[in-house]
Amino acid sequence: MTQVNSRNIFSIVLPSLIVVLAGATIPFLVGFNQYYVLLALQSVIMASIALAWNIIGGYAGQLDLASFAYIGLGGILATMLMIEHNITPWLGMFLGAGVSAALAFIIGFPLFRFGIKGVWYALSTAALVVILHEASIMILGPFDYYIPFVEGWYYIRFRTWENLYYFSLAVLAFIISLNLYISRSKLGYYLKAIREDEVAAEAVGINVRKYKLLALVIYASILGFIGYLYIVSQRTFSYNTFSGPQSVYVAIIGIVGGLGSVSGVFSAALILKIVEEYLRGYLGGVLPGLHLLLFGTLLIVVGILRPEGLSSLTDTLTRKIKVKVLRWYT
Amino acid sequence: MSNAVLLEVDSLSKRFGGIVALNNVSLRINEGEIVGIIGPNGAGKTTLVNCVTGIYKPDSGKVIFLGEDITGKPPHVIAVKGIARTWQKIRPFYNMSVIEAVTAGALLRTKDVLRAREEATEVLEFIGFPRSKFEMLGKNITLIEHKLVDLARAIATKPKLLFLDEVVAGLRPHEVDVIADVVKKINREMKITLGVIEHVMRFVMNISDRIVVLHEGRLLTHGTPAEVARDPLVVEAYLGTKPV
Repeated sequence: MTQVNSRNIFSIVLPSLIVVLAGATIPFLVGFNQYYVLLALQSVIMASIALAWNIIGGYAGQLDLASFAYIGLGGILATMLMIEHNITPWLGMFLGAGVSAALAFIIGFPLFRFGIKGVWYALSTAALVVILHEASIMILGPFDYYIPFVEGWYYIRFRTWENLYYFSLAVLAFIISLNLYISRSKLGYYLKAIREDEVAAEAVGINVRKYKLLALVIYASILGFIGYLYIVSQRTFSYNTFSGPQSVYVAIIGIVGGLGSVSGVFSAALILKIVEEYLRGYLGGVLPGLHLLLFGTLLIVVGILRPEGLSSLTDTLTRKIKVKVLRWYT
Repeated sequence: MSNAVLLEVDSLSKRFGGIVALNNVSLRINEGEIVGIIGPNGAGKTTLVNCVTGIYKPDSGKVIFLGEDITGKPPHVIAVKGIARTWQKIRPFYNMSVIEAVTAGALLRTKDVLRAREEATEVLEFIGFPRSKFEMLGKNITLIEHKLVDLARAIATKPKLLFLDEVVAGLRPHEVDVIADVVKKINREMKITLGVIEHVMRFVMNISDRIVVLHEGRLLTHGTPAEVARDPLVVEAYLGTKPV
């Protein structure tokens, strides 16, 4: 029993450790080239967002299209507090998480109470991004900020990108572990059962509304926390931070990766981000829009060849690695 | 057999628009029994179970379980009280393995996932599910296996009363016999009271202690299998009257 338990903890923490160790070498490998470090930073943040989405979209099976509502809300709150009142984002990020979680609760409670699901849930959440986009203009005017130059751990903002990258890597490691923990816990079993069949889940005693709401709040609070990191990595924020297309992109990564598969979503986030950047870098100047056309084609090809997501490839791979590591460990 | 009343349904009615699916149905299920619930298509059998398990809210009448009024409570609350069910049309968890699906049921009575997995294993072995297929995904197993997983998932919640909704529909004769043995075993060894909705007469007559016959939303008659089979009202409900 204890043996199984320790092995369980092992399999929750080990993947995050591997990601942190492998990720930490990247700045050295690219010779601290700021372009590549920034690309790595943005990839890590995208992977974090997609893995947060995996909790509501992958495990609970709710096609949520509101990720950038929570990122925008939490991120803008933390950044504004820093700019206007010199409050450290260490506090601001937690406040952002809290406010995003509260918003998720306010939105999720009536949605789940009245049984909004499937495409209607997707539409409602997509509307949330639009509402916040418009509401933020009404409240703050058509705002568009560059973050004034401040530096140091008090602001989690630096002259070069490495420190923010390491910080984000640690956050990603936490999110990976959280995902793996949830998938092995009662919550994970219940969310997956809800994803598969809500009526059957309810009949074996699962309070469907409660657990969907819980998944939504966890997801939103993570995004509210990451918001500040996202904004700093973009150097700027505006009403366009509440971005519908970006929210859809997060769901695309979650689906292309494979619903509920940590390794699949993680790989999809990295691959798509890097391919997108490569296409933009090399083809963006050739013919405007060509890189997006190729990127879209690529998504269609993946959809045809691997309709169940990249997880069908990565799960086999991780299983092989796990077997090898365990053999070496014991 | 003890005679304590487990479930009491008191003049239950349910309408869908102009259709009266259940009309003033009253019945009792005693602890330890296997009660067959039969009737022609559209008699209201599944509606009855849906009203008892909280899927539908009845328009009038009461459902009393272990002396407690549970009328109109949501399904997950009723599952906690100890009523489980299976589904006429299977509700499989395609992207979960067999053991995971049953574990989700077992987690109702424990928070510990490892313990729930052990219990799920025991339940699956009890109903004779092949051990080699425990790790298979729902989308890769056959119809009878789905029915067994459905059954195991319900039993794993440790119910006092279990409704089986056409559990042998669509199965081959020898598979029906297998399920009949499993159902009797569940009743005898796990001490679970059963309400069995069924069209396959050979199956339901064989396993039931008592039969309840519904017809057009009303309770037609009830009695032992032999009594019910001889009842002219039942014959008429199934076959109609003799042409004159």
